[in-house]
Amino acid sequence: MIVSLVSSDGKLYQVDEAVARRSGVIYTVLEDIGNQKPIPLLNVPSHVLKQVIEYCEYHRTDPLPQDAEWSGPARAELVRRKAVVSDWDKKFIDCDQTLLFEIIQAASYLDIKPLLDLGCKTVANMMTGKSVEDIRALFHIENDFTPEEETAMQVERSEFESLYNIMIKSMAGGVNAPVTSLPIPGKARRRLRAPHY
Amino acid sequence: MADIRSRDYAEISSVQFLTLPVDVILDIILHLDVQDILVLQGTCRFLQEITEMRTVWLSAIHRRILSNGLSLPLPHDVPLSQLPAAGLKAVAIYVVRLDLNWKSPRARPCKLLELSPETPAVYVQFAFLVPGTAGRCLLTVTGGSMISFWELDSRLRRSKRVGGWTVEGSIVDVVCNSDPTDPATIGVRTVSQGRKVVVLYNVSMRGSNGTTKLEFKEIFRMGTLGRLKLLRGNLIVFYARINSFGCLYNYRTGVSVGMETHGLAKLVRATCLAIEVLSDYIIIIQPTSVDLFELPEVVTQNDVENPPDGGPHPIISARLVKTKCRPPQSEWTAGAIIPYTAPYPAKRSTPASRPISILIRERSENKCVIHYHIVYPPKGLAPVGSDAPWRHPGLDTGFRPAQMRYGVRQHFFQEIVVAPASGRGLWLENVTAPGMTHTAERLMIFSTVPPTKGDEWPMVDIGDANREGSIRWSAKNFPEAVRYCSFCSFDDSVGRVVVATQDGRVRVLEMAPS
Repeated sequence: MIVSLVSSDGKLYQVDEAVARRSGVIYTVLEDIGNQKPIPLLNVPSHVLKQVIEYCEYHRTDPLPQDAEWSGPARAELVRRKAVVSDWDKKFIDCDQTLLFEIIQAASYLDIKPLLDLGCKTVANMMTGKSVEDIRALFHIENDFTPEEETAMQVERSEFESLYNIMIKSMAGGVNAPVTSLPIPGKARRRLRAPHY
Repeated sequence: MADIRSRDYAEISSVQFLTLPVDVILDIILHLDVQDILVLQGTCRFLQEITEMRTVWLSAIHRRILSNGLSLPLPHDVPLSQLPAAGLKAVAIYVVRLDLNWKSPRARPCKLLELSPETPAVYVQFAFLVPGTAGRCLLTVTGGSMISFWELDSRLRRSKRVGGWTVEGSIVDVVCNSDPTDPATIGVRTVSQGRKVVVLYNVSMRGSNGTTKLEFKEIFRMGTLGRLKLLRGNLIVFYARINSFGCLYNYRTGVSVGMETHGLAKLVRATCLAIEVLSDYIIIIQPTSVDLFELPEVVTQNDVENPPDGGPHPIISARLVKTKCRPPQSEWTAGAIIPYTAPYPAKRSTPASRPISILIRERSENKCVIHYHIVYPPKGLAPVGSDAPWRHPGLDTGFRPAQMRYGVRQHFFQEIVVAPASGRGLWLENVTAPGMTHTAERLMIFSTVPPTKGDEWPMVDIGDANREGSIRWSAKNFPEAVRYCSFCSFDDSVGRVVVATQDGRVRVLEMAPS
């Protein structure tokens, strides 16, 4: 059975029903009104739809995620366990940032959860371990805080970051890296210098 | 295809991170770790607002904290669902900070509180934080018969005695219940004029700062079946030295289970170095062997019919599943079991392929060695002697030393204290050099990682003497913090270490940087 899909710029794509059914939205459409005429996808341009179809073609035999399993904390746990991304998926998602966002947006619109998760995971990986400035530059985010607000937040973060850096350095084997010592309350320090016994 | 991917879409399309639908941005944030969420908060107002949402922190707590076996620094009567977003954020940051400090090679206490339970000073036998109180309630046993409870404030500045009582006779063992929701909070074993009794108390602290009152009630009393080792939910765990016989007793139904340990244990002076009760089996470490027993279901049930003749329930014998004897010419002096799951009554949920870690302190000449073993429990609990293969190739004994730490000197306090679910723990070392006028002691804190298949050496941080960075010195900034230590314990959820000293003081060290 062939399903016809029309992208937002009017291009017609014909795919197997099994492939199209990987999208929750198309699945519902096929169940409700049947496979009669081309399905218009108003939010998905042709270059993105092509990618999405490529993904669905490759994953056509995967089991469809059950709804109950894919919600709430159980989902977070599942995502954690499925941390290993296959090589094909890695290669598939390794693309231009804009296209990546478009694929994520399309996956969200078409309700293709594995693809959405793959995209989100990729973006999250891009953010991991970066500084505020790095992320602003990466995603073209404009800084709209006042300098005072920014200083306050910097103070809040700084100790956390220094701890994090100590751990990262120690894991990399750089034991001799300088360590900023954590503040010790004066009273406790005095007590330790002059023990009672 | 290639040309599509390489073209710059920024010109023809305006999809940016911030123009994605909010639920998609949220989906991305749900994949981030606590530290990355904090960084994201600092980028712009819009993302700051999004990351203040409850789901963000709830998901971070589930993913980063609870799924790693860490517990939350919250009293047991404050459920996660009641906390506002800001509270969840504070909890997440606290736990991650504590974890970073604990795992850092230069871990150090950040606060210290010292208290003297009695003046003039008397010997402190036991000191620990009551589970489920978020490190706010300290229990001390002094002078052999006095139980006191202390309220510590959250910033660890003050301590206040909120109550206590004196028992008849002298206290031999005190244990806390790992399950804070069970009515039995603590178990006390006393000896009075040759009569050995175990009493369970329900203890609760009511009121807030300044007006806190302690309420305690005796809820159960029985003659003992041996040394009181653990209190796990409704199960009291005993160990009788004479027959090297372990025993579980359900104090609500009266059903008991006996564990006949390996025969060799009877030939030598038997003690129980460590024991742990899981939802499906029991592990005992004795000086001669490690034994694995199946936990009979009937002992855990709360509705069991009384025996028809009205007498006591007969003792059910637990099936010995596997035993592993120690190598000859070695002497085990302490042990610890890390199953990477909460003990009974929590259900064991870790996959069977994930092994259990066992730490053993062995004495050789005047030094001791800490051995780190990993054990693969047999799938489906095959009985001893059957051909059921152990699950890991190359691990046919199911028990092998993964790492050792040599040159650990004997300390007065020999035990290895661990948190069963998270794999954190501590031990003490004597580092006094010849010619020193005072003793030098060192608190060693460590953290093991649940080993999974494929990890050759999952625990890089416990004591390989050649790896300078692998050992966590925490005594560095507090050289006197563990001096004259006679008893040591810690609360895994808040990261407070309690040290009782031989000169009658109790020190509480806070490992979470604030």
